[in-house]
Amino acid sequence: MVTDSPLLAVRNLQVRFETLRGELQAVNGVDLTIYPGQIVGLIGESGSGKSVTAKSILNVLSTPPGITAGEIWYRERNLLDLSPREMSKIRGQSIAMVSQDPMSSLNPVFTVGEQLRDALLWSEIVQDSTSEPSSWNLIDRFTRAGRRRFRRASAQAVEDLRQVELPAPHQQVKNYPHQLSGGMRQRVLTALAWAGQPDLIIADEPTTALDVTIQAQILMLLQDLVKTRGASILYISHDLGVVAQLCDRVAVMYAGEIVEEADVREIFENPRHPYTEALIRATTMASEDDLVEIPGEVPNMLALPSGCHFWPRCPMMIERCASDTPLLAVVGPNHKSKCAVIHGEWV
Amino acid sequence: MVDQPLLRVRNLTRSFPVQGGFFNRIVNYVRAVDDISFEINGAKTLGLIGESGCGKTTVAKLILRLIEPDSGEVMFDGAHVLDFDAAQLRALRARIQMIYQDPYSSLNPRMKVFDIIAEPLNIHYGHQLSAKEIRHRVVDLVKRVGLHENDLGKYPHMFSGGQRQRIGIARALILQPQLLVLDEPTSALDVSIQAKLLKLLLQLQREMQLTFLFISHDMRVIQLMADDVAVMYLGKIVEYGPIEDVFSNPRHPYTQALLAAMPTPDPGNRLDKLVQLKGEIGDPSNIPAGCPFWPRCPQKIGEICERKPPQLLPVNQTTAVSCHLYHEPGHEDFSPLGKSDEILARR
Amino acid sequence: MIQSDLSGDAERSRNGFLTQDQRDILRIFLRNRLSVLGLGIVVFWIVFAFIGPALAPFPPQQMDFVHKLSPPSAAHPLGTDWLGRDVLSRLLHGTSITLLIGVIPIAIAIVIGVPTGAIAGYFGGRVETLIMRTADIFLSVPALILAIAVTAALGPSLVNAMIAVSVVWWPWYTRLIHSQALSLSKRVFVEAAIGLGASHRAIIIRHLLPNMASSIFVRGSLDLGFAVLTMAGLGFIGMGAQAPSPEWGLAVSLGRRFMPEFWWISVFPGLAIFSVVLGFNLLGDGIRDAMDPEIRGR
Repeated sequence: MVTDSPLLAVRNLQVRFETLRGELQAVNGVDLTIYPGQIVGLIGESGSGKSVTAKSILNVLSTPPGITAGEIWYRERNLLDLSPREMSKIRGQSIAMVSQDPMSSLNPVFTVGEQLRDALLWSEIVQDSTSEPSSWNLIDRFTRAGRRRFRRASAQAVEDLRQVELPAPHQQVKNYPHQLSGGMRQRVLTALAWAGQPDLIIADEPTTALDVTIQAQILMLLQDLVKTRGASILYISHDLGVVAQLCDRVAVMYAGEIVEEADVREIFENPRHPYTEALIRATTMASEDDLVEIPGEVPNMLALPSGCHFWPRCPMMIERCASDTPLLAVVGPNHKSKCAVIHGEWV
Repeated sequence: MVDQPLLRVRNLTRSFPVQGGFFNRIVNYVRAVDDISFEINGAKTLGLIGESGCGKTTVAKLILRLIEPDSGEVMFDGAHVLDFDAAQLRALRARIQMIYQDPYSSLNPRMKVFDIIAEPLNIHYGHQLSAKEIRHRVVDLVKRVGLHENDLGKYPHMFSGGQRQRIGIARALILQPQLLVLDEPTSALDVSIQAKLLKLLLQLQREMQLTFLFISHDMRVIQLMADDVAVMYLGKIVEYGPIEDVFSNPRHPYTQALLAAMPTPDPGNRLDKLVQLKGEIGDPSNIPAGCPFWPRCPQKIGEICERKPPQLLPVNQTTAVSCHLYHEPGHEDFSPLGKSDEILARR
Repeated sequence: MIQSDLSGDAERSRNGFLTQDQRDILRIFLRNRLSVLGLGIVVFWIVFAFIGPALAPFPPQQMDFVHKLSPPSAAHPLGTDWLGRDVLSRLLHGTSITLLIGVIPIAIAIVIGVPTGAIAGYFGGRVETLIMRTADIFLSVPALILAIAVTAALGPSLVNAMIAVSVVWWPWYTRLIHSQALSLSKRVFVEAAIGLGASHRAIIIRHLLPNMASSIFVRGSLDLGFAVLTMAGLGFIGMGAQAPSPEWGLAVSLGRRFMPEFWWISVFPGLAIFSVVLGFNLLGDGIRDAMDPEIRGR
């Protein structure tokens, strides 16, 4: 069991977006804690705010106004207080991201070896505290030190690709992204993410585009890397199956809020929020009668229902659900749920 | 069993040239679909499973004659589809409809929902039906697929993925086809939406006596939807039989691996059990000699797998497997039930 | 991603003589100030094309050698040219002819270029090779040289100059539409239409063209200005509008000799051309946005 102080602690995160039809609250009061060595799953459907939460941690939101309140504590520092320059040192070096689409995350005009080499060079430059990081070092092949750095990084790139189990890394470094299969690209991305030796990886649906047998391999790889390097992963997914297999702890998001959070076994065996329960049953799909539908559609974020946002779709809804806002309350050991109804009673 | 299957496919083969070199000469062929046979009885569902690049979408396009096969036979309702002239083909396309994976690009963004759904009617009966009649039919169908009449004046982008897929279903059903080819119809959708759509499809199948060719990579979806299942790997069917038999007792090592790799929302079984296969999915332009699966096969018997392509032969009254494990060694002629053609004929 | 979840609220209302759609188009168009400005400029010039000659203080060809090359003044608000003709009057008289020689060649180019491009992109194969290589041949000859050759062959006149400009211009539309048709043809909804049994003609007209309309508009509005300038170039070498014509392009090129001292001879027609081009551009952008249901729906 993990007892250290948290690696990452998100507190009361609020994110708003301006759209042509008005401002919407994409993330509303999210709390999230990740301990060293932990794999935390963040589950939600499209539009639930899970990816926005992830991007907020790295402060890479593109739509204004973005983060309006909250704290994101990484070790002893609040990331929201950092200057852009300090933040860019965090990105890639302390916290890295693996994204969903391995094709568009790689630059098509450079070989995978070059891209990994540059990432390694950059992390070396950033970590070298004696000088101010400068992108000059990335193209410096004119000095002896520069050439030595290049050679070392290139060799390291091959080594890193071997670690992510890319077959024949010596040849693959010379290949361009389009020459690799989806699974191989995802391995390269994983290697890229590890290049800066981060202690937190944010993985945003990294296996969604992959086939099941390849997905299994990538998940295994992530788990092995966590074990051998002791980093943590925030794993964002809509697939409960994947999360159940990979994660230690799970948080479920709905309409910008975390509605349930617990250790993986607890949440799957004893779900306390009707939304979590419905998701689990919808994923199981054993037979037609078993197929639970969640009525209605994912809510319009511009016109969220009052009270508990889930009530219009909830099978256990009582009258108070539409008027009173439930709190994320402790309902069991390490288990929080935002449903206030137990046995048809508001508690 | 029914006397005659609605769709009967025999030895269907199609390869695509790979162009390369300076003069764009044909340097190689991709065997996308290699000697495939199957059949579907009326109002039943055949599930076609496989990973990307295995040729399952090509099969769908061959049946609709969106592309032409190199050889083989497609019988629809007793008629040879491949001999059809243009007029017959047009008539056929009213009776076989397709539903596509991507709910975003499969609808013309510049057409209103009404025009999208009415288009097949306009194409096939434009002169015979009055505008009122067309409207009546469209409205009727739109309600059956769970949309509202008010939605008809909207454009596709105003809908969520699940609703768009309903529009696609309505477009496919407006001509009252007999066979529906569904190419991963729910894989782009959220879980809760997916369950709802599958339920709708099952319901429509019952009401309209539809026959489904259901293509998917998701074993859970296939298990829910299909009566029979065909597992494809690199252009070939490797296992074919009733869903209960294949899923409860998978014989081909690839089927076993696929079933194992599916992450279930049950934290009990952990990741390492998921990974049964090493390596990448084979390259369809460079299919290994012998059994196409042998480089990844965990149960390879020996040199025979690399040399001799296994045939799809029956292992019991209903199921056929293409693997030397069941037909080799020593019993090369061990097929008490005869060739797969005969077993198909018997069923 | 977030936007797609925000389902629209396009309730159909049957009052008024515009459909909901047309009202939406109008609303989006009017909301964009720049496109309204563009519309204003274009309307302004079209109105002047009709009433300009009546408003002109002098006949366009009336020479006044006493006051030649005089700067803008009360009598001649935009000055006079080297023959003492009133620049303002010539500008007003030249409006209609200038607009026409801008619009007509581009219209012809669109009429030729769009179908050829759509056919090439949609069908592919030999048809594509034939059309696209022909277009390439036309493009490989420098535009002005080709136009000169065409006018030289047909004889110098305004009509022939317009034909020449369309000959130079159509391959650009073929290329533009070809690339769009090519990518649209790969979209699933086109495949779906084939699967539904739609004819090729129906697919091109119902599925391809509506999705390409906006880029035709934008490109056309941009080209309008270039067409005016090319026509001016032809006029300059004696192959387009002929000397006494008040056409703007001609005025700019002939007045160039008197730059920079007598700047008003060239600058005012030049500004007029500039404003027409700008107007059509802004208008084109506005129409493109208003016609796109995805922008409209947000």
